[in-house]
Amino acid sequence: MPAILVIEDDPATAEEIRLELARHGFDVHVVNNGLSGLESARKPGWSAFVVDRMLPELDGLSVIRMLRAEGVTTPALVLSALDAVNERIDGLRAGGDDYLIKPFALGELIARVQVIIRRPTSSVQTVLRHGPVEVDLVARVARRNGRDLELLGREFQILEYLIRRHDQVVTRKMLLEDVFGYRFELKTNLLDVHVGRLRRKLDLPGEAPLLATIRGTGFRLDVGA
Amino acid sequence: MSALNQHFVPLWRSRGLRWGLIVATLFAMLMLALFELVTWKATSLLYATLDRSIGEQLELLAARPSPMLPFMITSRMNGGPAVVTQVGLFLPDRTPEVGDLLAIPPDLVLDGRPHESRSDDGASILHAAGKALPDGRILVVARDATESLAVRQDFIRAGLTLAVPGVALTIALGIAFGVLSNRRLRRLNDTAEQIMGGTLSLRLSADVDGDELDRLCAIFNRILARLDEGMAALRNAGENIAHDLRTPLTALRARLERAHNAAGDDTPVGRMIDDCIGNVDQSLSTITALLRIADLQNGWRSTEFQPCNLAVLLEETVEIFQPVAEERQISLGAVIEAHAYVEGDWDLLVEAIANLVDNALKFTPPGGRVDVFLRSRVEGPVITVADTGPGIPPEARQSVLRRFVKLDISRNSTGRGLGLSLVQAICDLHHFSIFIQDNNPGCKFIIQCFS
Repeated sequence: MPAILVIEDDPATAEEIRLELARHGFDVHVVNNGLSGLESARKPGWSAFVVDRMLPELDGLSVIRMLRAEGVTTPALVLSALDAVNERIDGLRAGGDDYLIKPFALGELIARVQVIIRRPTSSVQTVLRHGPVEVDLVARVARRNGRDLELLGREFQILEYLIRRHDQVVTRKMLLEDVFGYRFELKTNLLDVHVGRLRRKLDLPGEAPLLATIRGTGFRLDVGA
Repeated sequence: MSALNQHFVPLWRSRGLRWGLIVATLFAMLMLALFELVTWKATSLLYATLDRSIGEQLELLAARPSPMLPFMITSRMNGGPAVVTQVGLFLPDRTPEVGDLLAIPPDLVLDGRPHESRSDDGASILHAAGKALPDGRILVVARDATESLAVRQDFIRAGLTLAVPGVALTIALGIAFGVLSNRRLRRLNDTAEQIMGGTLSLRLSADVDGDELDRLCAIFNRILARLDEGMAALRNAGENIAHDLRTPLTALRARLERAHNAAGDDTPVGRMIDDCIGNVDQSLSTITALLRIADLQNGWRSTEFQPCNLAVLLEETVEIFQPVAEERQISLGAVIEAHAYVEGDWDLLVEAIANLVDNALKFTPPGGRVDVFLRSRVEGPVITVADTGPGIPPEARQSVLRRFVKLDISRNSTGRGLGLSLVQAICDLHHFSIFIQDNNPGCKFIIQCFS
């Protein structure tokens, strides 16, 4: 059972995070201040840290910075009530692997924790293969069972993003931020239109659907099974 | 930055230079008046002496018995080389009898008093006095005054040798003062621009024991310090509000989700909780947008701008939104008439353009068009996002870019609302101006990428 250390000072939030992570099969340990967080984090065996940015005694970013300086590479998700762009950059520079603005949907939290734990396939590979799907990053060609999917630029990028995180939920926010670079809300259903087009090319009628929609959260490429 | 050059005062408009020129002119006029006065005084003194001597000689000669007169005149003529006075004795018909003055100056009044008059040939100026003697003959004593004119010219020449360098020096000082004060103003201007760009911690340079400008700078610096404090307090307040609001909302939202999961997706309670989550998210996105606008207005530093290729930006945005347009049966295109770079924040400019295109697609009915143009004007690039939607009435165009405005015409759609306020805030940050025009039908958002 993957063990998660949650460093969060608001008891109600901490409790909800604990319940949700536990519901998804994680072993959760909660501490409520930066100093004890740092102490607990130094113990081996953690799969990931969930760290609030503003903490009593020692702030979240300092905790991560100190852990990284000590050589601890366990992935960390930073939670923050501060959402200015430079705050986010600060969070990632300090050594955080992802940055989530409060409040968040629980699905978003779980998806991001799962993604940082199973780090995306390294980018050294030039051809990503999972199940029937193959993505050739050099030739910019994607195939299902050898059939060329004829994807347009963004569709290809979405599929690449999904296959790197196959069998994991990828949220709408993650796709908008990482594939389109959009950190703002839109009025049109931009993402759904792109994913819809990708799905029509990926799953022909009669083929087993590979691209699942996770209601209210995002999408998942089911190739492992 | 182009705005800098506009604020910079050209040298010819500099106050220092203008004052320098005025002082130089006054100085020259004063010098001229002074020399005129001195010359006038000196020549009148000269003439007075001259005239007195002429008068005395005339009286002296006239007082002699008339038979003696020709002899007196002749002997006087032979008196020595220093004789500059001419004397002539004329018969009543004005023909010369004796003397070295060969003619009576034509305009001379024979009243025994000295007068200025021209010589017979008109070549020189004479001071002369003439008088009819009791026997009818005429006695005239004259002296050439051309020499005293030369004295006057000497005075003027001497004056000019002083005045010309004096005036030149004054002008040079004026220019130097102008350049110096201009350079100083320019430096102040640069600092002011940076302060306006968001670096509120900067101060204008002022000497402690300085002049009026330094004192003005000191006052401005005090105002800036207060402003800076105020902004910092505001920022803290904003962050605190964000934090204090977001922390409980995080727990609330998580609990609602848990309740929703417990109730089940398709139960009435589940749907009700779903609505609640929607409401929480909506109010949160409003707060987020407001805080972002405040952040853009206060916290951003334009000094971190980088060159952005607008053609690439617009083409990419249109490419991203193309599938949305196709699904809505709207034709979407980019018309790039010029390639242009602007200094800016790429992510924010993308946000602004994506917002406008997203908006246009949202409001344009099927069969319509949305076009993005990039044109080049002398002042800088101009971006236009034109749609064939319902348009925005002229009276609402100003307010639509302000916070919280939502037009009534499209109640069934989410209003244009805060997205446009964000666009406006991004434009403000870049010193771009944005305005709305008729597209008949529809409307155009025009961003002039210059101030």
